[in-house]
Amino acid sequence: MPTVNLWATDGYVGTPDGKNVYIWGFTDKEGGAAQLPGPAIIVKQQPYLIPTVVTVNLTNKLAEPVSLVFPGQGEVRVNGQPAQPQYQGDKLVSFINHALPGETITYQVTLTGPGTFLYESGTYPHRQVQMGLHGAMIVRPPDYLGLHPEKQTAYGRNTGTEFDREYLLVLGEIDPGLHQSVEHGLPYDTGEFNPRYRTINGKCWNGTVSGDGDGHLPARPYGSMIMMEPGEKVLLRCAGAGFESHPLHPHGNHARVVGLDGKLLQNCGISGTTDLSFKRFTILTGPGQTCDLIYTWTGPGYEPDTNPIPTRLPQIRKMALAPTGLTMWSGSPYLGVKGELPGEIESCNQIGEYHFMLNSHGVPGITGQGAFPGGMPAMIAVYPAGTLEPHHGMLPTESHTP
Amino acid sequence: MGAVIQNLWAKKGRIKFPGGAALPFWGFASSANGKPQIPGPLIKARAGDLVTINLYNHLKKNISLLFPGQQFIPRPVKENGVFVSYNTPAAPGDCTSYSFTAARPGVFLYESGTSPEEQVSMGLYGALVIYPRGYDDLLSPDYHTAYCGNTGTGFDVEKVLILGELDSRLNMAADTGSRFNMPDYNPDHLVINGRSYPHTLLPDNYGLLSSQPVGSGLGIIPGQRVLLRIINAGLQNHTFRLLGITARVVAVDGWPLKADENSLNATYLKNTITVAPGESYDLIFTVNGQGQYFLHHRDFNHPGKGNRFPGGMATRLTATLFESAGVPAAPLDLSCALINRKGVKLSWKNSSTGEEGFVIERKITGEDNIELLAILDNPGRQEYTDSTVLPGISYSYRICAYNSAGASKHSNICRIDTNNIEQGPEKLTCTTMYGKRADLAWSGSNARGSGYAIERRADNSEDFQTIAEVGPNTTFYRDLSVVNNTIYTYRVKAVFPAGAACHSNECVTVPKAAPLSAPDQLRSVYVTDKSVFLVWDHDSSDENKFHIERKTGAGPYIEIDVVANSQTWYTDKDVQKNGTYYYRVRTHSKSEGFSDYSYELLVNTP
Repeated sequence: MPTVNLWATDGYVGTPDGKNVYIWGFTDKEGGAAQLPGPAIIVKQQPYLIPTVVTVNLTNKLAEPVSLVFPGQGEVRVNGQPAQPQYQGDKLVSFINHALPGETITYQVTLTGPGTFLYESGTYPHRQVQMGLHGAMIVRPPDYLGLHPEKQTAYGRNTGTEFDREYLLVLGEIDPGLHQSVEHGLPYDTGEFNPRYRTINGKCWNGTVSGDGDGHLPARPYGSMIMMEPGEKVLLRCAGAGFESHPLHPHGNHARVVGLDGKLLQNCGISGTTDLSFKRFTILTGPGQTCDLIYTWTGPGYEPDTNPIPTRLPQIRKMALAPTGLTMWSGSPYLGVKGELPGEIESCNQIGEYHFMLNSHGVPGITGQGAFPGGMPAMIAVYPAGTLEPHHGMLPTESHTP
Repeated sequence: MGAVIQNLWAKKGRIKFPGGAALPFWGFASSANGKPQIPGPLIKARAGDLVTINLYNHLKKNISLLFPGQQFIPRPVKENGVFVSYNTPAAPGDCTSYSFTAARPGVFLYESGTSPEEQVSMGLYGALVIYPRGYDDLLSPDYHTAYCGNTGTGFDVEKVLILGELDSRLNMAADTGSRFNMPDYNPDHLVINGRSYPHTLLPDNYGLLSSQPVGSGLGIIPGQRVLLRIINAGLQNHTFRLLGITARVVAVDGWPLKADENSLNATYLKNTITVAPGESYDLIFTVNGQGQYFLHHRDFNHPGKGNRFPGGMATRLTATLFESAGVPAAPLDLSCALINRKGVKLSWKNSSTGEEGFVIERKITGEDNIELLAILDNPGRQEYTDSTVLPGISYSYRICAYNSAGASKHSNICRIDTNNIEQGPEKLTCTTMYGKRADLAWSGSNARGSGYAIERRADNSEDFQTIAEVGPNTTFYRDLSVVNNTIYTYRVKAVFPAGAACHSNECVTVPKAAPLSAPDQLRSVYVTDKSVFLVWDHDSSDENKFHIERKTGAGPYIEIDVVANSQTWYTDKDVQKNGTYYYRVRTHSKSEGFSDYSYELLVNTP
């Protein structure tokens, strides 16, 4: 059975406008700094009827109690006893058993099946969840087999959830004022919540286009740069860790919602199974909720050699990402071809791939400190067929040793 | 087909919230002499019934009712070409009647259709539950179902949770007849069935909450099928989580997601749902283990009054193997005593089993109002200390035990007067200088006593601890045992050889270290076309590090390196011929964060 070791501690994250924001968060490295979001816990469900229990050891390096809740999972035990809300005097402190400062607590979490879930602090969550004490948990189906065409699935073979690549997008917000209050020990008024930064995997635009483990954002190791090839099925695991709903939208494309809150949208009855998955072009992930969607880019009428990417080209000047004159545009509507660009524009395009946005349609969600662009846009890059490594964009099968 | 007649009297009243807050509100009473309540009386009917609602308006404004989801055609009213009501209103002092056939099962709202932004916010709403015809007929396939026998909605336990929110300023304004600017709406009380946590845990018809008669606590047996009917009567979206429970969504807005045996089964599993204003969700779940489960608002940025966790919109489900033995027995032998430094200590003998907790009520002799002082969430308690007493007052206390079946009778009343409590020290102030210390000063002479006790509570603890005692002629104390960046609350109390004393006011302070100074005198002492050697001055302590940043031409500053505390120099070897570079340095410590930057240094390489 898998064992996960987490430490709750503090740290800093930078923002695109040059601030350093104090955070609390989890790390899976002893002595490490807090990361945002917490380490993704990726585990595999045992075959049918065999209970799967994940052991999570939480060591609290902060100065107040910290706990973990696992919404959507089954029974949680602490020291062999069912976990229970914790009271101090006549006040509720935690939704579940907590670790006092310096202590370690062991949770034994019984899984309920494959899916994408959240884990977050259950102690003073109005403060601790905003400070960064949250993360995602992915449960793989028992028959999961990476790179196998039928067994690389979100919910198991024959559930219609096969995918070629997968990306985890933990959505959240940062109110730097509240973080500053915690850092300096000032009163924390969550009713004044005013999130100036909306984040994907803890990052704002344009950190959102960095890949996994990008060295210059050490506290935020998870990338949100979505790379794919035409016709591939891309699984986007969206997890709403913040306080707001975020309407994500792969520009000009539709996605199939296959699971909500880590549960497959499918019912089994005597007469067979009913597929309840549905298509949307704007997918709302509510706070504390998750959404699994599968997305394929085809481009109407797109043919690699004869018919270019069907997009109306904007003025070349408008393609620049920043005043610095950088663009992601390849200079050619054909995948895999790099064309001429005016001299003063520098292309960051690698091999003629096609970039477009995956962004929040909540308008404040695509600003940072009120300025556009910022916050929640990320990018999808469609690479020419056969140019991406098969494992590119794949999360590990299991994150922690069984 | 049957007939359901419900009389509703719209009246004004007062509702209570934890911490002693009370608000005026408008609500519906179910009798002419009854108190108005929030939410309004739950109206129950069966599909096919003729529902008649007689509305008696005892308010000073026109009031009407709407029945969203029913086959009912409202008659909008215009005055001078402007809509004034969505439906025929009852004028003040008047009565009007509405009737419709309850066409289909489900959980629905009824609410005011006249100035609804004001009147619904004030509390003029309630729920209407329509059951299948055979839901109480043991032989019917519809027995104990929400939406008939073939919809997968069979249940053992049913509970309606009406979500809502109130903005105190709106209630105050509406009560006095003044206008509230709706764009300023920012609710400070979040409620389930009209109550905020922990009042939500108290049973139905709890005496002191006479206008909020419906509790939200749930007591069930593991394995029972629970039908939770969540409906949002508020003006905002509410995200509601069943912690530790995954439920099946079986109906939305009164439409079952599996309409009959041949239709698509579109039910799905969820643990957290976002409920829009006016929307309803029917959830079915079972829990397997014994214990407590919190059902709570996941919108942690809206915790309600006081911005304290847990917030207003929370309640609890308790699963126990044995069916509740009913209402617990009353606690016995309540006694109260003044105790030094703490206030009034209550002790009692617990004579019940199966209680979820206790409620402490307090009354000041000579006043009418009984105060709901505290709700103790845990069973088995035998004592409680009230540390909020003032000197020279006569208090009466009584307590009861509660569980989801109801509240026990009250214990005996115990009275105590606090004449023997001395006036506490006054005008306590606390100030902090930079460095690890806090300075306290107060006034008051303690000629009869032996001195003062200094009590302190840190950020993360609930209880005050005595940290020092000083002599009777002292009115100053310097606390050197503090940790920087922690919130400390202090209070001081006079100490007497015998007897008790009151506390001073509380004061709050946060000791801080001196801010880090920026590195000074940044200069380049050696510049070649391959390297730049920088030096700066700083009085650094051991834990600091220096962060060196550089920009090239008009570009942004980029951090190029971090060096240890003792190193007040740096060699940048990554430079080119004829380059223009700007440098700046700042220092960082784990406890204090970053300092300001040094000034900017321009270096041109040869």
